[in-house]
Amino acid sequence: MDRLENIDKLFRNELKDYASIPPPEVWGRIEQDLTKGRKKVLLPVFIRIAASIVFLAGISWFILKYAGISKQEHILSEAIQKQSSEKTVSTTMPSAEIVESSSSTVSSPAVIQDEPTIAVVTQITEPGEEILNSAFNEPDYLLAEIEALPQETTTADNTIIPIRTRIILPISEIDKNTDPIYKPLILTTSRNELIIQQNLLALEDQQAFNEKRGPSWSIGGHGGPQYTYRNVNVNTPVYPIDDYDQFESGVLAYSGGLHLEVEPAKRFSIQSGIYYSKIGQIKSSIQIDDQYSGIGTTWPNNLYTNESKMLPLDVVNSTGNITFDENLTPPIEEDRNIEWDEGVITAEQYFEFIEIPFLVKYLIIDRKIDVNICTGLWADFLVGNKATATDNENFKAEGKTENINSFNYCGSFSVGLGYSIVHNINISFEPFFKYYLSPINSNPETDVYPYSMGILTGITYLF
Amino acid sequence: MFNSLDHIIKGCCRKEPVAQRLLYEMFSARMFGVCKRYSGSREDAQDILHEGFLKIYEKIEQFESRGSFEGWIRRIMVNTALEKFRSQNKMVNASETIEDYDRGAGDDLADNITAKELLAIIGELSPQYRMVFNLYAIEGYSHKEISEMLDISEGTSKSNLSRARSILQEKVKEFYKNVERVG
Repeated sequence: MDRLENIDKLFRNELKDYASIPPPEVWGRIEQDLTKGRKKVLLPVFIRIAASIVFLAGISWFILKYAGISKQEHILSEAIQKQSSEKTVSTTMPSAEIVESSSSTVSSPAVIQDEPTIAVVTQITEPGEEILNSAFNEPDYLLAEIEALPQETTTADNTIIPIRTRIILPISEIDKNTDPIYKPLILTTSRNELIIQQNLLALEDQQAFNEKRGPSWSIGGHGGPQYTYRNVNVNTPVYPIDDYDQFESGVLAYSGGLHLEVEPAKRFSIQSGIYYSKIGQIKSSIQIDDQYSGIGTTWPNNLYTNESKMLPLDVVNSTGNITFDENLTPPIEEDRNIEWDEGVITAEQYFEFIEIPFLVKYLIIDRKIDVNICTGLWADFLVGNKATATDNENFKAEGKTENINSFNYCGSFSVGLGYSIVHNINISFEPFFKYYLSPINSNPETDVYPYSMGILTGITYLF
Repeated sequence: MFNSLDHIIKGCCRKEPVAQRLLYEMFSARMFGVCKRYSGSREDAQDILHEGFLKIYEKIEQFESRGSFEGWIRRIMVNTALEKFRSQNKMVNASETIEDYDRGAGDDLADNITAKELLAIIGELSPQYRMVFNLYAIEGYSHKEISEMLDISEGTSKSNLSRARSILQEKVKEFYKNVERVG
């Protein structure tokens, strides 16, 4: 039985990893078949990018518009459409990455780049492995050949040997005198084994290099609509929380920005950047009582004895008093009653922030469509504080909310989907939830913590 | 930039020609070696390689990144070879008695026979013996698995293996005799 196993072992040891370079026409046939299938579906890259962004932005808007989360005016997303420069995918190998030569001289791997890439140096004129194996019968010669790359090689009968090889090397980092990549002792009498060993060593070197070469970087931009509202903690119960909630509601706003991302470890990345975010809320059914302000529910008649009386419009809501630049002159009927129906005035208040995020992202699924989760903190700097009161007819006043903090911070969580349109450009679709961890107001009565939920769509360029 | 196998695989998922070419460059030699072991002629091996790579490009999205990618494409090549031989050869459901064909050649097997020479020897086996021997002795499949793959009984698989071993031993011995004669 042992002897039977010996014959198995002999063949297994010699043939399990046996490799042999196929003739070039095999790839030609494969490429031909692949091209047939490809022509049916291939669209220009820029059309695919534009269509993807439009599609994702449309989906985002549609979801928020019809989810019934806002009763107010919708503000369409301003998706960042940073159109990448048009790039054409050639059906043949780009010359920058692959150098092919049909000459009979072994040329240098001419691809010298600042960062590692796969350089394919194809130099074969005859198919198969039957070419001049006798030239490589001396291991020392092979070793010299490896170290001598890319020099010409000739056989004993002065025939120039066509060598087909593929090297994967971090070219810029190679010191040809000291780098271990050039030191492997490949002792073989087979030209094909030499070539294959070269390839395997180069691949291992490349993988090792990738591990030690440091983080990879990407930049991008994204944006989209978000629904924003707030959570209120009532400290001094001037009004019960229900009174606030009864007349206040969230709004649809938007956010977006540019991000810089670094991937220090596989699947983990850290992201920062600069963003703009607009949040706010709506105070409806604003009443004017004899105190000229408040959140009361009744409308006093016969309030005015003097038609010329100007009423300062000063609206109290959960976030703080909204003061307006102009006074209110309500329309007065002949009987000196106010013409307005109850609750005719609505005030929208918006806060605009420049945000600096610090986010960590983990890639859960690394496939054709990537799936990642992302969480982190945001530093928010107030850059806009606007409020608009209107009766939806002629009256319109602008003002601002008092006592809003100029610096705030919040936390976020998102689940992102990424799809690579071409090999270094990704588009993303990222539902998120963001909650302010510090109150944005400094009123003694209430602490207001806004939150937002929305969908960011965007595009990322990978270096 | 395709600077790792992962990137090349992802590029192939996106049907990018450059990635497809690089994948071929990376694995074609080793897979052609597999194809040659399973085929009786160079032309058949090229056909299997051709069909196998088309399947790889078509199914690459199904590859689970947790496993060995080379193992995955090797299985596709082996399956492609099996399909080809199923269509070309009706497997003989032999019910021969399993004989011990060991005639001692294994003891004498020197280690200086080259892979190419062994490949030529294995190529002289009949297709069904070559299939069974490859699957059992080189790939490591069990007789039960081989019987399912080739749609034969386990007994036939064992019998074919035994016959294949015997033939190979004879041919190896013959090879050395010729070497000695020339020497």
